[in-house]
Amino acid sequence: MDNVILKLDGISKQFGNHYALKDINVNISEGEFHAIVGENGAGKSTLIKILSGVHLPSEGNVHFKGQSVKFLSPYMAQKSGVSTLFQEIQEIPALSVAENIYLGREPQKGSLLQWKTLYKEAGELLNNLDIKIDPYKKMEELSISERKMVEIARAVSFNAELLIMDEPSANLNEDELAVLFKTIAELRKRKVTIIYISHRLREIFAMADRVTVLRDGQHVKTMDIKDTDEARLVQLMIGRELNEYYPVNTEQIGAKVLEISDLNVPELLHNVSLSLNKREILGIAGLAGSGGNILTKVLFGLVKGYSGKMVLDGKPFVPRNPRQCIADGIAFVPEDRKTQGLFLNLSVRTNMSITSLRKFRTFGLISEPKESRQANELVQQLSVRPKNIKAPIRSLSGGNQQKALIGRWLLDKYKILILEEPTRGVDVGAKMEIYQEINKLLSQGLSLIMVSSELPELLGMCDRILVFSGGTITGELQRDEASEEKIMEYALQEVK
Amino acid sequence: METIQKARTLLKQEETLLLLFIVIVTLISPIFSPEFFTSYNFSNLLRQISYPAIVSIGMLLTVLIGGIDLSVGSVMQAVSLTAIMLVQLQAPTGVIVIVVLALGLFLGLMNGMLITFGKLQPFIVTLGTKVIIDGTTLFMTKGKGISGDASDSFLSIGGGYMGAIPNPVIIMLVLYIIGFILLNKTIFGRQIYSVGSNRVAAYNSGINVKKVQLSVYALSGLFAAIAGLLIASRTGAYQPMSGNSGATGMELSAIAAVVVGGASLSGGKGTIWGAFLGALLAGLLFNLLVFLNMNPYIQQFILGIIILAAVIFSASKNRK
Repeated sequence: MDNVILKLDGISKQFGNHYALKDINVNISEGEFHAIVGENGAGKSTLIKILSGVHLPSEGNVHFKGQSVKFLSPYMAQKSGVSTLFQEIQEIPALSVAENIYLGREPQKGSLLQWKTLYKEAGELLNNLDIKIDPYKKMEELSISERKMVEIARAVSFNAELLIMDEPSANLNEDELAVLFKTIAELRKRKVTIIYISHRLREIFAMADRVTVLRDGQHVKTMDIKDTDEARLVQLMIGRELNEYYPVNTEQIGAKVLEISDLNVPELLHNVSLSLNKREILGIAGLAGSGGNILTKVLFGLVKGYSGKMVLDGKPFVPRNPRQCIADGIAFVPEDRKTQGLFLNLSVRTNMSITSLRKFRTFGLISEPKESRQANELVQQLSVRPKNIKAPIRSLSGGNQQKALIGRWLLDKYKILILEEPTRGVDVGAKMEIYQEINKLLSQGLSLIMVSSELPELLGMCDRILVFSGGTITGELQRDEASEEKIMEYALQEVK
Repeated sequence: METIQKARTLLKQEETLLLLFIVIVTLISPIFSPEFFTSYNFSNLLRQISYPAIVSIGMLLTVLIGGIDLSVGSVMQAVSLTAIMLVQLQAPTGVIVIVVLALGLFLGLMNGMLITFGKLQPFIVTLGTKVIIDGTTLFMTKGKGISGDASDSFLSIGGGYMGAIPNPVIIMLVLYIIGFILLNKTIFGRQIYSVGSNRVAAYNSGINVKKVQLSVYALSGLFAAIAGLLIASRTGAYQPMSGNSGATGMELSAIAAVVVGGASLSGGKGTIWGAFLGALLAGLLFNLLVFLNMNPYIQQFILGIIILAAVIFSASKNRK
């Protein structure tokens, strides 16, 4: 192999007793496009954080350009030539594009800022990369993809020799993707080495030279992209055959539970009509902003100003707020569990019982023994670990938090459970357990609506998938006809 | 092995630490004052402590939902003034009690409505209402004290005893028991913690966040009113700026008690037991300072230090 620019030598990272990464050995050559794949929780983010100076490895060494390096901060990594495009956007919205690019390194004369030079340099930089964005614009006025471009420009402005990109294509539409790929091509012309993390395997097969697979913090394999295909890569990622991964809904799908006709939300949803049957898992697919999660928010009373007719279990259903929707039989697991679902500093028990406290009252007061008994049963049933219902829920891993959050809705009877991104940020093992639990819910007569940006999950779990684009349903696929290609085709369909 | 583990977690709790401090202060107080352990001083001391301790219950509720109530001292003053004015009108004691408690509830509800429906910061709203209430009482009294010819039944509310224990102390204990049940055994109590821990998640769990918020501020006004009534009925007079024994600076004493008791000003964390111990410790320390013949202004200084020390302690604990 030619010049090795980055050498990972036995990298491990421990958090408490848990190994997030164990003994990773990878060499990356100069100018290479190296993809890293793995399920959520496989250790990709931890690896990136080590390379970018957020974390230090617990064991092992990083060699960059032949020298052992210890990056103590992202800024230090950037100065050495390693820039990272994080998944979460890092910039300051109220400042201009140019200010963001040169944040912390603004051209100065004495202690005065050289505004003209700042905007001139930013303009030239963007021009060179063929990015058509006005450096005077405020960051908050830009689209998500434009912001990503600005971050790429910022990375390049450090004369990055190694650029790490964490899910750069997430949330981008087709046009925006084209711009991203063009910029990446431009970077490759400049011989910038790229480490690229993505769930979208097709991108990886289109661009990468080599690919490294991580699973449960372990290095599974590094290989030339020519020597593998999508199916084999997925198998390496999940460590088993795909069809063992998702349980199959063997329940008899029943009568209609919910019927929605002509649902409209100004600017967000247009003429959405659908129905949901008893013991059915209905999947909602679509790119970010396509309207799927607006539909679920309407159903849980979180959106005001909608119009349309809804019938739940034969009765007219008019969602006004979560309280009333819960009373009407809708349960809701939101997409961001930390900000929208959990009480992080409160106990696992309180987090689970909060919606059904009425059940645990004797003479108007909450009976803790009753509450604890139910909570303990649930923790057992869902195998939430640790099995301590008094522990603050923030001390649990993402997967266990998610299980507890789903458990919240198992303490009482509901008609429909809405799951938004049910396995986001959850490790592989917990993911499987969550799928099993979701499936068990059906036998209790529940109907499920599942919004997910992970297509394999939708394909594996759902009886039927509705695809959204531009605020309306562009396609409906039964389980046996659904495929990633068909979903993407509908998801990218232009809506007038 | 398990007992050691248990002892360790017990020691780590703020409440245990507070209890330890309280014992220490109680043990060293007699060194500076031989009359510390006399029953007269003791019951007097507990009565002094009962006013801020009662106000602290309401303050704890507001702090638990991530808010604050800076108007409690002023509500106490307004309530004391109203009570004495009613005494001058020779209103029956029952009427006085109902009117002033309703006044406290109303003033608290005003705070709650401004914060909830105006979507305003509790800090600013209650600071504003504090100044308004202070201004009104000053305007009505021209800054002077007022006394009335109070009936025995009125005076017995705050001045009476049950056995050897002053009424305010009994009332304080009863209110703490009610507060304990409210926070730990009722759905409303759970809702308070939930709203303070994560407002969005609380809403998504079907909690009527606005109702919880309104109720909490109304209750804070009510607890302040009870303390104000007890002070007015002890002396039968309204005292304008009555130093430590009065309502001035009561909001600070209550915040100090709650924070020293381990509550977090960002909400969702704190116990009634902690607030009680916090109020007790603050009261004992003040008593000690009085024995030491310390300048009252220095006492202010020390109150500030105690609050800061408690905040630093809890912050360093949370960071771990």
